[in-house]
Amino acid sequence: MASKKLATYQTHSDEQLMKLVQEKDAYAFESLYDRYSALMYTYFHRMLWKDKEKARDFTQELFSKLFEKSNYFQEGRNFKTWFYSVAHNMCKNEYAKHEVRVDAHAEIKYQTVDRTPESSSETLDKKSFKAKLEEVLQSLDEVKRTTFELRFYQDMSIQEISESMECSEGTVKSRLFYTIKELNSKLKDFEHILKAILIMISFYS
Amino acid sequence: MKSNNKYDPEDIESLLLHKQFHELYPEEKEFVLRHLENEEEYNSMRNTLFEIKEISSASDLLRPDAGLKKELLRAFQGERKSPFIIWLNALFAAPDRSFFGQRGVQLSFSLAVIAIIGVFLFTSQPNKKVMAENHVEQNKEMESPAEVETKQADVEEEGITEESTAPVLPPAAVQINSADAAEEVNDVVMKEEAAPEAQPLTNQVSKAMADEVSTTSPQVSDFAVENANSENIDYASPAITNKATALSPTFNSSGAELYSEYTTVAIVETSSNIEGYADVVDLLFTAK
Repeated sequence: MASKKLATYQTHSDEQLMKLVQEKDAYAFESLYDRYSALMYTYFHRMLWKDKEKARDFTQELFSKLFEKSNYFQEGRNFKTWFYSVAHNMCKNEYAKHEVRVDAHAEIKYQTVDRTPESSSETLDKKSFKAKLEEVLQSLDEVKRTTFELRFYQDMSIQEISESMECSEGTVKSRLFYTIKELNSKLKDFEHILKAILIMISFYS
Repeated sequence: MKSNNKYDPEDIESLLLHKQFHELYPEEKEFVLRHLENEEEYNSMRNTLFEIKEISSASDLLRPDAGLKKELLRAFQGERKSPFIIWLNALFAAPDRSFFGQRGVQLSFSLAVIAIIGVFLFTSQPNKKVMAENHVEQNKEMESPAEVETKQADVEEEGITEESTAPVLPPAAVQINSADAAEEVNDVVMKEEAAPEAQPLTNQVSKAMADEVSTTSPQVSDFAVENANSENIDYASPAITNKATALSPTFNSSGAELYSEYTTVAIVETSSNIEGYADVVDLLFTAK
């Protein structure tokens, strides 16, 4: 019975489900959780210094707000952008609370950089680039990082980002452009070093 | 993308994603080169953007543990229930407690014990309540001089002439027993006989007193009834009787006080029609 109802809800839009959540429908809430829990958990994990415990707590708090303050969701609004704006505000509060920026080098150690010898230089190249990218992203200011995160990791459109961050689409595009430019300049140096390392590896192997 | 006006710095992203530098239209190149240094930077940015896209799309989604979903669903169910039911459940249906460990059960037992002790203490001292009532009545009876003055003013409004200088008796503060009260009443009545004009009044007062005192002081009561019945009672002056009745206290052991007070009040009210009033008052004071 429950699974049947859940299956029925799979065809519902987010907004329809949210309306049912406002009517205290547990299956609708479960459906929304299934759709967004991984996305939001990943988002918090990335935005909150790769802290899994913090990401879990924030995900829990976010979904608690979903049913506790469901009346704040206004009919006609896009659920996804509303939900992300709530999450974004939670992150901003967290930043303001701590007012510390995690040391990017410390974060790199926490990331999934494989320290075991690589079998191929291509894998090393990509993993190293990814690690460097994460490092550089952590060094960006909060607004740029959030915009970049929503655009490339949460796969949101410019319009959705503008609604979530409550700014114009032009502002979002501009932020993205300057973020990519900054990343490019910082990663360019890394590419040169990386190429040298790869040449050395291939020479000794 | 034919016009320069169409381009904004933020649109470079789409150009980077879709076109190489040599594929750009002249106006697009012009626009790009306003924001980027040269072709090399354009191509470098393009490569970086593709790398980022590739990495971000390949990055796996992290999933929270299954316990989180259960916790949230439980919280959601709790939100649906009314606070009163939740409160009751917390009192009587805590899952991790035995029956006698439930807070509600413990609270009920505590209240029952307190109630039993309270009832026991209350019923074991029955005289306390009566004593308390007597105390209150006594306090009522012991009127202050101000109250006496008020009372006098009321009496004056009902018929006393302004020339009347009837003395106001202070409230009786000394309690005497029934035997003394009977004796005193007797003396007063004997003295009243010396003032024939006051006889009807005395009879009326005696009647009122007989009714009033009958329940409290047998000796006084007997005398008063006898005295009252021995004469013709004039009920044409019900104001006197009513006044005496309204002011009648019921305190057991002060029959004499009652008598003196009521007699005084009654006499004061009828003083304008009775000659020898002063004599009667003197007699009363003497008796008192």
